Amino acid sequence: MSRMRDIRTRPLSVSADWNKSLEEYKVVSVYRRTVNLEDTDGRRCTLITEQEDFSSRTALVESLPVAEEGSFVSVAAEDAKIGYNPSLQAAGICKKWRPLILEWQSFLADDDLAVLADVWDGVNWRPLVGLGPGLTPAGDDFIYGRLAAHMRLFEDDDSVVSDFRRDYRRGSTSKLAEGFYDDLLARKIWKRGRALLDALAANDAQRVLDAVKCLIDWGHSSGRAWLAGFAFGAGEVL
Amino acid sequence: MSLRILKEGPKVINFGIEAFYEDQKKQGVPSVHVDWKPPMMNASLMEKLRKLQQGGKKKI
Amino acid sequence: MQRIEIIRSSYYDSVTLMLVAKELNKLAGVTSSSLVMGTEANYNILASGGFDVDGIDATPNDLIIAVMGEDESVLDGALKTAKEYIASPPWKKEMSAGDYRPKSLDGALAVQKDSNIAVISVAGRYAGDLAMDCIGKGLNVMLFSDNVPLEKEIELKRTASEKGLLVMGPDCGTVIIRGKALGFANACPVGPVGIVAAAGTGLQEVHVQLARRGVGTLHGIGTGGRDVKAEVGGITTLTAVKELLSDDEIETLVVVGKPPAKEVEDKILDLVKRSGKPSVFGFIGGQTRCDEPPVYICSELEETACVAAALAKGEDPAMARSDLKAKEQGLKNRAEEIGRRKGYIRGLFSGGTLCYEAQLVLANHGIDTWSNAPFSKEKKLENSLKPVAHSIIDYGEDEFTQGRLHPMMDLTFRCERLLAEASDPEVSVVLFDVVLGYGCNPDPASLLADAVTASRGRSGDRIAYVASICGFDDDPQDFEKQKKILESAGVAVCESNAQASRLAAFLLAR
Repeated sequence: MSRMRDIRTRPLSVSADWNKSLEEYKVVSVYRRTVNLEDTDGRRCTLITEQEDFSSRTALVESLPVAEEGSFVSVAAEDAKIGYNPSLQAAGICKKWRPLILEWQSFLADDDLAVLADVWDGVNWRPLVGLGPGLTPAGDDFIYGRLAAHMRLFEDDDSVVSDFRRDYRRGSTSKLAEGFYDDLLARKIWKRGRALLDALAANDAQRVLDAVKCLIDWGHSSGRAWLAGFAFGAGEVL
Repeated sequence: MSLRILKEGPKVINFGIEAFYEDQKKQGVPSVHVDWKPPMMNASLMEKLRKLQQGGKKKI
Repeated sequence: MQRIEIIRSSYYDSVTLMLVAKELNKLAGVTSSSLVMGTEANYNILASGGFDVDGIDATPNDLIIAVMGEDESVLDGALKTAKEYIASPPWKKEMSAGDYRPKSLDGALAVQKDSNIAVISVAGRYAGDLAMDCIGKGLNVMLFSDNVPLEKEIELKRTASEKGLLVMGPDCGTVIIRGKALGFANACPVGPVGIVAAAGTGLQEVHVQLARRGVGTLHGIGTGGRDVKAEVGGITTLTAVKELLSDDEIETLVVVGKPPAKEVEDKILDLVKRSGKPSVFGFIGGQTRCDEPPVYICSELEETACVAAALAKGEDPAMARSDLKAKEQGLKNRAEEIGRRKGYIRGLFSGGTLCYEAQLVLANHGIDTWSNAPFSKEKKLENSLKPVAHSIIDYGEDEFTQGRLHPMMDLTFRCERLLAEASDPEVSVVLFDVVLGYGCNPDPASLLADAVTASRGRSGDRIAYVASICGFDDDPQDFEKQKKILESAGVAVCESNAQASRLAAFLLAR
C-alpha cells in the first residue's frame, strides 16, 4: 500500500490527550465535517473542523485533508495549542435540575428510538449494546449518556459503572463505538456532553438549554439517545 | 395581600400557543415556552417510562 | 366528491391543523379541506361547508380529516399528504431546530426559577388541571383557554385566592402587566390607569381609546367572562380592584365588562367609594346608574375611555362626554353620503365584547338583533350558522373555537361568512371589527378587504360595509396601513366600535 506521506496537515488545536509525538495516521473513514484516523496503536483519532466536535484524541484543522480511506496522512501537531480537555471530573449535579433532566427520558418515545424503548427495562444495558440506528448505534449512545451521569456523580466506579466495566464483551458493537466505550471508561467525555455538565454546574439556564440543543442537533439520533441515557442515569443517582 | 407580580412585572411560563411566547420575547418579557402535550399522548409508553424512572431509583 | 377519515385519540394543536388545511387546499384538484376535532360543533361546521357527515362516529378526542375534490385519486393523494404533514410538517424544515423547550412545568421552573405567571392556551379540557398544577407551584395564571367547566373555574379561583395568587380567565384573551402585553393586546403607552376587564376586547378597546387620547395604562387585568356571575362571586375582579385601588402607581381605575351580578356589582362599588380613587365603570348594557364623582358610570367602551382619559388628564368628564356625543351628527351625515338603505344588518365579530356593544348600540337606535351571544335570551339564534333578519354573530364563541384557532388569529371562516352574506338579497349593511395587536393576525385588513371585494362581485352596491379597527399606531400590523387597505376596498372605517355600530344604525332606513 503506498504511503502518501505528502498529505500533511497542521492542526490549529488538539485535545489534551492527543499524542504529539505521533505523526502518521491511517485514514479510516471520511465524513462531511470529520475524518476518523487510526494511530499506529490502532486507536481512533479524529480530525474535526468545528469546535463543538472536540472529544478525546481530536485535532481541529482549518480544512479536512483530501484523502481516501486506507490512505495515510501526516498530522504535525507539535505547535498546536490545547483546544479541549476531555477529562471527566466528578462534580455532582445540582438537584434543582432533576425535573428538567428527567424530561429527556422521553426521547425514547421518539419513533426512531422506539427500538431502544422496547428493550430498556431500567436496569439491564446488555440488550442495548450495538442496537439501533446511527453510525454509532443509538443503544451505545444511550449507554454512554447513562454512564456519564454516574461518573459525573462519583469519582470511583459505582455499581452501575463497575457492572458495565466487568460485563461488557468486546466485539459486541462496531469498533468505533467500542473505542468510545474505552475512552469513557478512561473518564474521557466528548465536548457536547461536557458542555451540558459544565452548564448544569454553573447553574446557567441559558447555557443548559443551548447545550441541550447542541446535543439534539448532533447526528440523526445520537444526541437524543445520549440525552435519554443521561437522563435515566441522572434519575438513578440524583 | 399584595400581588407582587404587579410590581415585579411578568416572568412567564407559556403553555400552548407559541405565538404568545414569541410576542413576549419581542417585548423583552422573561419567558419559557413549554413543549406541552396532553397526558394521554403515548400513554402506554409514558407509563412505561414513569415505571422505569421509579424502578431505576430503587435499584441503585 | 368527498373523503373523510378519522384519526383516533389524537391531539394536534390548532396552528398545525390550520396550516395543514392550508397546504391541502393548495393541492391541485382539492376544492376544500378541513381538519377538526370530532366535536358536535365541528360536525355542524363540516356540514355547513358541504360535507356529508352522516355515519361519522368521531369523538371529541378524534381528529377528522375531511377533503373534497375532483376525483378519487385526488382524494387519495390529499389524505396521504395530510397524514404526512401531520406527522412531519413541511414548514418545520424551514424553521430552525430552535431552542430546547422544556416539556413540563417542573422542567420550565428549573430553567426559570423566578417565574410568576403561567400563560395557558391549551385545549380547554386539559387547561383546568394544568392551571391547578401551576397554582400549586405558586404561579399566577392567565387562562386564555375557554371550554373550562364552571366548577373548575371556581375551584381554581378559591385555591388561588388562599395562596394570594390571581387566576385571570378562563376565556381571558388579554392581560397587561406593567405595560407588557400577554395574549391579544395592543402596543400602547404606559400610564397611570389600571383596568379590570371581564373580557378581552372590552379591555383592548378601552386600552386603545385611552392611548388615542394620550393616556397610558399600567395594568389591564382580565378576569374571564364568568367571574362576575353570582356562582363565582367576582373573586378575581374584587382582588384586582382592591389591588389597583391601593396601588399608588394607579391614579384612575377602570372596570369594564358586561354587567355583574348585583351582589358583585355592589361589592365593587362599595370598595371604590370607600377608597375615593377616581374610577370609571363601563358596564356595557347595564342599568343606568348615576355618576357619584369621583365614580363615573358609562354604558359604552369609548365613552368609558373618554371619561377615564379626562380624569387622568385632570379635565372635565362632562365636557369629554358631550364632545363624544357631538360626533353623532357627523355619523348621520356620513350615513347620508354613503346612502341609507332598507334591509338587514349582519355583524361579523371576532371580539365578544365588541359584538355585545354593537348589539346594544343598535338596540338603542331601535334595531333589534339576533345573535349567538345575545344580551337578551329571546334573541338567541337557533343556528349560529344561519343568521336571520338583523343578526350580529360572535365568531369567538365556543361553538366556533373548539379545535380551531381564535378568529382574531385566523380569519378564514369569518371571511367565508362575509362572502356568504353577500348572497343574501335582503342584507344591506355588514358590520365587523378588525382587531390588531400582539397575538392577532399579521394582516387582517387585507384578508377582509379581499373578502369585501369578492362580496361586491356578488352584491354590487347593495351592501354598505362598516368597520372599526381596535388598534394603535405601534401595533405590529401598522394601524394606518390597515386603515388604508380597508378604505380602499370601500369600507367605512370608524374611530371606535360604538361609532361604527352607530353609523350602521344610521345607514338602515326604516
